[in-house]
Amino acid sequence: MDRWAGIDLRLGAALAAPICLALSTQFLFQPSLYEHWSATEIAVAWVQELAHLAAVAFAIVVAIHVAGRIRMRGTVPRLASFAFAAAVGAFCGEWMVLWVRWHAPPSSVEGVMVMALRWLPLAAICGVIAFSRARSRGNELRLHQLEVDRRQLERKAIDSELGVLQAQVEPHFLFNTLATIRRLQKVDPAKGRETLSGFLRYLQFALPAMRSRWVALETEVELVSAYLDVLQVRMGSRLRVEIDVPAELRHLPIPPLSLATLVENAIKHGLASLPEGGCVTVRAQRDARYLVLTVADTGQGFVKAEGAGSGLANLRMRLRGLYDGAASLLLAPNEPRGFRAIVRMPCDDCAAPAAHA
Amino acid sequence: MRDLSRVVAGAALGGLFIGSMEFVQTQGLAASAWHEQAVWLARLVLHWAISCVPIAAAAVSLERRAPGGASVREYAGAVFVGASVGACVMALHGLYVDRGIGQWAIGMDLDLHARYLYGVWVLGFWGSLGAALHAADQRQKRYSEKLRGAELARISRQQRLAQANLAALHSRFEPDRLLASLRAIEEAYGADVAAADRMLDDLIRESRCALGRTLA
Repeated sequence: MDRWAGIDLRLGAALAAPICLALSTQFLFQPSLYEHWSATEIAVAWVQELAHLAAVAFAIVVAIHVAGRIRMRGTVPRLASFAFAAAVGAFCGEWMVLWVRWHAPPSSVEGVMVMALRWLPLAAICGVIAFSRARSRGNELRLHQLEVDRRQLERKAIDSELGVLQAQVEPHFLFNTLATIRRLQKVDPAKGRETLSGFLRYLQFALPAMRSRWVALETEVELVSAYLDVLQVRMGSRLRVEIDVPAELRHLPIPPLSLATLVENAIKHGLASLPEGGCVTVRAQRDARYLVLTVADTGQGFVKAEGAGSGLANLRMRLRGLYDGAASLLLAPNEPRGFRAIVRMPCDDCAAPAAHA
Repeated sequence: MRDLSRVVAGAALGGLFIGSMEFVQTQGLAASAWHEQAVWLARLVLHWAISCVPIAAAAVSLERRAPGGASVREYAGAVFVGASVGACVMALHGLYVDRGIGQWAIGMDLDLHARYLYGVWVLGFWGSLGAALHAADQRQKRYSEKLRGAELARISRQQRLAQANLAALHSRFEPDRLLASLRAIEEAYGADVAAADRMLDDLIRESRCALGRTLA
């Protein structure tokens, strides 16, 4: 029945009013009819004509409205019922109006029928307009729904791109850590086993966090410590680590493996190839509404090594997807030597902006 | 050529419509033999079809100028021009070509001026309704097209999304399996170091493969 909901009294009136007004002007375009009338007589005739038309149109609209309320299946019976209602409404309307106008019931049924017939093409045109209007409105609603769907799908697409980017980090991280453990195993089996056990213990609780979209800074720092422990066993005194994360920032959400990516990058491309080693500093600070993570090393600085930057590019894309351009990754030389990566991300105390989207 | 056929079709439709209505109103005035009535109907239809040509031409040229849908003002302009010119055609035709029409059409003999006014009203009235119909139809067509485009776009977006999700799934370790493997390696180091090394190598190879898949 919803399809016929648009054919109501208001729409009927909206279509009938201008048609009646236009029809009432017809005799004004035939000056020979009123060439001997006074202006008042013309005005009265026009008002009478308009009232006549309006009454008949009202009868038709009511008849169609009543027909629309009858429960009915199928388009053809429905349209037939409307046509019939329009005919009956027109005939009855004309009959009554003529009766009122001439103070006596019309003498000829055929005469009334001819008067009523002129309404049928008008009713048909209005019906087509109303029908196409209802269909347009249905399409409009559907388009609106599709637009809503599109927004949701786009959000999902961004999510799934982020998923892919995050998925790239995970095997990368695993591969590097496992390879380090394997090398360590050859040099110092006892240390290797110990490291493996530590890493395993860590992964048991960190893996679910790595899979989620957000991870507490605290968890990420623990991951980085575990990773640095693994490396420290291998590099010994060549690797010094400083971690400075204030307790009040530890609950803030950050993208998982972001800090790990920076630390890994600092060691792989900064310190690993230096015989004397160096120091990695991890620092978290609050700058107004931003959380600033800095990972600095005292390594060899900017050296274009093979594979360098793929982790950073990945992180940059993830930041763009998660924060929609509000976060930044800045790379700068460190003083007096080495390399420094700074991530600035907006953080209200509650959660990151896209966390609940 | 296509435009010309559209103009002819529009004019024929208008002529048929207005002509038959006038026929219903004037049939009592015409002769009663059926073939005479048929000729009368044909004359009325032809008379109005010719008069509808300007309005049909205006509609087609409007369609051409505003393919994205015309405004109310443009429609009104087209109907006004079409009806004014059409009424001239109608008056001249009724007065000089088919004089019978001029006398019978509305039951009285009208001069050129009166016939012109009558034609302006008839063509303007039905032309406006035709324009409203045309506008509603065009609007519906536009929506249908938009809807079709949006549905297609939605399907392709869903496909892309499914592909991205599949890629993400492929690249991941099953967390339980990964932890189980690591635990097995840890245990193996207690018993058989060479076997444990091999298992670790396998896992490293696997993580490298997973890495390769995500970058592909």
